[in-house]
Amino acid sequence: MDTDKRKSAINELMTVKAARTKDIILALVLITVGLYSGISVLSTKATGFVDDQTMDHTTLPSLWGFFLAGLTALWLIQLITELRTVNTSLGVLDHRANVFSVDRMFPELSKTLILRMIAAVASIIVYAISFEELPFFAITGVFLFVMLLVFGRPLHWRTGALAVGGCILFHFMFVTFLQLPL
Amino acid sequence: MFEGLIGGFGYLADPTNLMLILAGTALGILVGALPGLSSPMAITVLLPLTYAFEPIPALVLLMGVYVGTKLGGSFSAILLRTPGTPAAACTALDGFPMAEQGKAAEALGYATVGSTIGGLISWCIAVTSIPLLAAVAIEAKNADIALIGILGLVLVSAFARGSMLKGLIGVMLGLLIATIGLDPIDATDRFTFDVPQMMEGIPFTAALIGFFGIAVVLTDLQLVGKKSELITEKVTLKLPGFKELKQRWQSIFIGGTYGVFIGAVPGVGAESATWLAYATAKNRSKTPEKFGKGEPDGILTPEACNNATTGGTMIPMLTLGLPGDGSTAVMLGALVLHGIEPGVLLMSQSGDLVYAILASLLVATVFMFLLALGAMKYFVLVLRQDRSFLFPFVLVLASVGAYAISNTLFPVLVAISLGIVGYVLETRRFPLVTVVLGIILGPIIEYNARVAMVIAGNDWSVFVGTWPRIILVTLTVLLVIREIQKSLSEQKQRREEILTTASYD
Repeated sequence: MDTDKRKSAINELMTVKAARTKDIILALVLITVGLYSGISVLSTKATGFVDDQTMDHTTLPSLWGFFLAGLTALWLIQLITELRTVNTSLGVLDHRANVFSVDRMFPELSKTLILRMIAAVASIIVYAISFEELPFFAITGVFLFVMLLVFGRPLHWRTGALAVGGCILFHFMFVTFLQLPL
Repeated sequence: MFEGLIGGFGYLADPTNLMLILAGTALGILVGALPGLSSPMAITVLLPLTYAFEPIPALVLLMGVYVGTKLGGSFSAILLRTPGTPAAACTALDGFPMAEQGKAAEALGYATVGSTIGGLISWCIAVTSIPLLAAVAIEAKNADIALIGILGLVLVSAFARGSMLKGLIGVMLGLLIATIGLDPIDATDRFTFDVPQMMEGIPFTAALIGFFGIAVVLTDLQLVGKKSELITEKVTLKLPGFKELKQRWQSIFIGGTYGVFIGAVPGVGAESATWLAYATAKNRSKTPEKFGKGEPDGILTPEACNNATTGGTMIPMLTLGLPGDGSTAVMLGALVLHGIEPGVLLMSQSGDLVYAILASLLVATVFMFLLALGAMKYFVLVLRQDRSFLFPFVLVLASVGAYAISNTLFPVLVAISLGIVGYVLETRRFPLVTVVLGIILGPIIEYNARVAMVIAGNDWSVFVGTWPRIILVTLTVLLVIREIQKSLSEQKQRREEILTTASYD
């Protein structure tokens, strides 16, 4: 019983540790973005249409950039403090448990999910590039069919029928009704 | 006011506009019923369909969706114990136990009636208060508008999901994204990296599609393949009688008023309002022990509150240009897309549009009731469907919507990039609505602040030159200080939680 409780506490703390580690990486990225924006915009030269402005084209962007960096730094301090507490607690519970593990970092991401995400993003890019080259009706049908398969529908005539029905609907909606130049 | 309202209803007498509201409301109920799909997402993916519309038909369609999603969320809360929208979470507390007792039809009836009456209460308050507030707001000068915008963003951060620190970080990120492109006064380019398309700035429709469309699909991809089991196979709707409603009027009234007034605080939205209203109704009830076990008041109150926020959120949106929640943020974007600047001048410059929006709010509420009454079984059918059917269609709408902004690939790439950024932020529990609001309000704040400075001869004291401005600045500063303090005390609490977990015995 005591071992189970101990294991569960270690698991819980490891989950918190993984979450805080991801937060810290994000915080560092945001601080970099904030500082880069705040500093780089100060060096941009005005076109000179309006002179003598106390609040010019750099004032607010640099302010937003430095605020972003400052607020994120505050968050980062909180995260580091929390991570230190977790590490200390894990060290007390079981020093062997306190190791970095990639599996624990992304427990929600299965291989299938990652593949689906990559396929979704890549398909949208290919689909959009094709707008200029191929007929909307055809590429929408193919896109829908591929996406339905990627998202787990079986290779079945019903999936094909759904894709065809979808592209007829979208063609009517965008090309016939809204007359978008697709 | 009455002439304006009559004019507003006059626009809706056009059968096309009526059909658009009906279609929007039906779609809204469907989307709301599906857990994972949200109102901002539905409105965002519909935006491209409105490109070819005039502003009034476009906005009334979106209003229909907005109202419909409010009720739809309760269907899955009652039948699956999984709320379709975050605001319907409260409804599950009593709705699901009632359905378990074999009273699903009654539970759906309470939800429908509560939503409808809540919507009607909020409409009455919105219609009477908006013209009065707009008359006061029109006196605002550039400095006031900039300060109101900043206060609105701080308020949104304070009330959005998660810590305020994350909300403020999101706002700053949004404001920074909004500065990309030529600046609004002297056309100097900023953060364009020599990419010509970036000179015009980030197309905000692409940003909306990224944050509310692609990011949501990427986040919800883990739901693909999961089918939901309904509590009952045969679903009907049974409305409560007039006598019963009379006995329960207090619960509906609490829900309705909380919804309007809490919904009117920019950024708060329906989620917090429903929980507060539920807690109040429970505390005032003579039988609080029945709450959580299938008490009808536990459905009527949150549902009345949820739909009452539709009128509440319209108050800051139509008078100050500040969104009450994520959906109204997208609607503000829709206004800009159709060449209308949201803000204090909206009522004086586009009064007909404001009244048409208000009229459509009422008509959509009535349609919502009728649709639930006549087509409940079809709406419930959608609950059984797997997301794998839906997401490809959402992605087509998102891609075409982004492409159609300028018929180039650039907005699509922007939408995808921001979609990935949104996904990362969402998984780290950042409220995306704060980023979107930063993007929408950023240009308004910058333009007005700089014009105010030019008019005042570069004198910074213009921002504290009148009593209302001093109040606005003081409120903003106090709110930021209070929330940062709160955030620090929350951290102490989290530390204690970690130590409690560690000392498991």
